[in-house]
Amino acid sequence: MSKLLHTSRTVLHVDDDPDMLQLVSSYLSKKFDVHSISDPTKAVDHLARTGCRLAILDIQMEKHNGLDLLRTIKRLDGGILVVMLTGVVSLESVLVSMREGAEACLFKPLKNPDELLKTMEECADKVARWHRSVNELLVRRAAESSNAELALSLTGH
Amino acid sequence: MFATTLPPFVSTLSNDPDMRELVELFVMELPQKIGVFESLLEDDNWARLKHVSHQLKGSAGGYGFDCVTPFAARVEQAIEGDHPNLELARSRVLELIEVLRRLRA
Repeated sequence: MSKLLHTSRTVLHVDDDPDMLQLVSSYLSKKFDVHSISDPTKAVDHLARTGCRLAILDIQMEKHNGLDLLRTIKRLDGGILVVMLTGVVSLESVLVSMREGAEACLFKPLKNPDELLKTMEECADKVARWHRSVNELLVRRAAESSNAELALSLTGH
Repeated sequence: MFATTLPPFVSTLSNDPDMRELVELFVMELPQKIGVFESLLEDDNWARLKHVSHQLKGSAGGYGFDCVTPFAARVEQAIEGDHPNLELARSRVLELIEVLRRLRA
């Protein structure tokens, strides 16, 4: 499996509640490689270091607000897909999450773990689709380049 | 942990083979959680009490303890705002602790 495809199945989960980290890891670990982080200040560095393309963020954390973290992540790389998983049930948190580029906003307690799994599958599909586009571009460029070389050799230039 | 005479709250996920182990772990760690609430209450640390109640509101339901969610939310609500009612908050924290003591895997 290429590194790009591998990273589309890796999820970074950031929440300062160890019980939530445990729960989400158990929900997703059959389908995804889940990295759990309780210290939100380490999230950006983790994403930059691992190339992970999917993230799940809590909003109300003691050291860092998840919406600020969402903004920072999107500035780092707008292609990282972020899902908010929060106990802050407010219209504002949904609207800000959406405006700042989150893929979805799910609420705790999670009534149906399948909803989270389905959301992450959709995100992984989206990442994989972009990876396929990049790969196709590389193949086409290589083909164009070799065609050009062939044409040059046939014309004797 | 003090014994309570009220009937227990049994996790709705206790028969879920995928969740049973996690639920047992959650229940095993309850005395520690209760200790945190008691210690924060003793220190009048309302900011932390609000945060740990908020966390519990979000996580307990995932372990099959939906019964905890409204009690944790009541604590959070009492502490929220510019003029929190701390006497009300104190009684609600004690109420939440009593609920936590009744949880069983």
